[in-house]
Amino acid sequence: MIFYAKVLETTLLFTMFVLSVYMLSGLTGLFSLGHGAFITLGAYTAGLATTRFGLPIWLAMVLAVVVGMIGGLIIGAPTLKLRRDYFLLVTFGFGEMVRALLLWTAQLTGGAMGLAGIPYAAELPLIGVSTLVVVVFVANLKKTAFGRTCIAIRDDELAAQAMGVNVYAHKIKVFLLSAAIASYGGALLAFNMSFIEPNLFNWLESAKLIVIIFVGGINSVTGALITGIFYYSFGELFRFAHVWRDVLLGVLVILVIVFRTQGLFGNWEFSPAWIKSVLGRKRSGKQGA
Amino acid sequence: MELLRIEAISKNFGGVAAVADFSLSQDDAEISAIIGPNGAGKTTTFNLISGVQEVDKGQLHFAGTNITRFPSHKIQALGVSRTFQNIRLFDGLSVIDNVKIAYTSQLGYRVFDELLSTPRVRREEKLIEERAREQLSFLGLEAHAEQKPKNLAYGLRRRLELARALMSAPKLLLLDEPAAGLNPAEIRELMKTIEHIHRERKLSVIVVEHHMELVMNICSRIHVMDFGRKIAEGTPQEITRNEKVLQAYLGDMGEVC
Repeated sequence: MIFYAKVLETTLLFTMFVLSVYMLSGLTGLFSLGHGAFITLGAYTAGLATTRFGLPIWLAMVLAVVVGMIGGLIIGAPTLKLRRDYFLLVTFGFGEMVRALLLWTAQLTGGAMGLAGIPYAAELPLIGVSTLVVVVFVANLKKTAFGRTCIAIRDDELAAQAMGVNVYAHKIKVFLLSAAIASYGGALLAFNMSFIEPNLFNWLESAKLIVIIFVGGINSVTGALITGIFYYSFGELFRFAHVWRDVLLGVLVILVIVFRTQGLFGNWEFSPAWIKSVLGRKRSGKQGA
Repeated sequence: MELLRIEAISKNFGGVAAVADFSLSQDDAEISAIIGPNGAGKTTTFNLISGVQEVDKGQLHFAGTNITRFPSHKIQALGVSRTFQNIRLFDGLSVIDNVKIAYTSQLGYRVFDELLSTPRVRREEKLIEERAREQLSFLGLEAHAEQKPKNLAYGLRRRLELARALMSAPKLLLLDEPAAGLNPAEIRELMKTIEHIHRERKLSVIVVEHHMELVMNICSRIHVMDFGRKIAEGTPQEITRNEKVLQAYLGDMGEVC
């Protein structure tokens, strides 16, 4: 039982990371290979705040989000005006920089030895509720002007700007929100694992988050959610087939790119309206029969 | 009353003068046209007015505001809306959401409202939905509201761009070759539509167009460009009789004869 709870905790945390990248890469079309850096930043801020400075847990979490957003602003403000490929390179560099910084400041962070003894404070209920809140937030944003604007920017920046969208300001908003979610998740991760190290989340892990979103479908939050849950629980539940997880993902990516460019879930969203329409169809079907 | 005043604007692309000392004055509720051979700088002029590209020299004034250094989203918010020569729709959004984008500058709610989906958001979304549907039915697109723009016929895509441009209730509408790629029947339809928009919405329109029948029929004033400069300006009748215009379009007849 404890094992399954643990699997669920890890899966939910990683799903939260998937959602933070969903807004950035899926909706807005910005690729960050350094997204793990925000998770690491959040985790280390939370870990250091509690172990080295003795701050209360809640304050450590707030601090983690603030530090993540400041990091996002430092990286985002100069690079989000540039072309998307440059943004990708800079975020990649940022990720490696954060890793190097943590290794270099070993006296404070423990360097390559990692940081141990972080209080175990994030259990399933907190993680579950947090993930749910993030899901609701992201789904809400996608439905309204925020999400529409993201997609418009992804499709045609110039036209979006000419239609009254402040493209740069919107990209900053998206990036900061995404960084905030990632660093909050990172803080939860630290409080869940009690031990963190600089290689917690390297660029390959960041890239996987993007791949998962594309497999699920960039226009579907539901797709990102389900694919994320499946991928991360698969690795934990079928430990013996652990190596095969990435092989499976690789094959899936190729299949999706060739046969279903819109992703597994396309534009489909799980929503009350969808449930109603399915129930409605069944009822009318019965009457007909 | 004067709505747009362009004072001697210039734009160079690596030594090539795309627009040179171009001036223009546009009244509210006027339909005018910019015509000229290919590469005369018409589209660049539109890009400069709408802020898509920055002016090298000269000034732009719109409704009493100096908009020379304004980014394009601010110019749009002031009331300048445009369409594009090569249709630029958002393929990831449905037809109605494409129209809704143009409402961004008028949006009342903020990100925090959206995160929590407050009543304010729902109220305003309803209003946006209503207004977007209004634009769609104004241009006869209401049946396609939920479709993706990619699935629409070419003529309908052009009309969708027009609907999107009207969503923000602009004072000035810039149409970049609205008739390109349309058949004669569709062009006659388009002429009616433009006049209808002009009459109903009481806005000022500038068209860049090659199709002379359209220009001569609906525009009260024509500006002719060649090599980035304005070579003539006047009513359709005056333009058809202008020597310089004929020369620009047909070459120097003197040499041939």
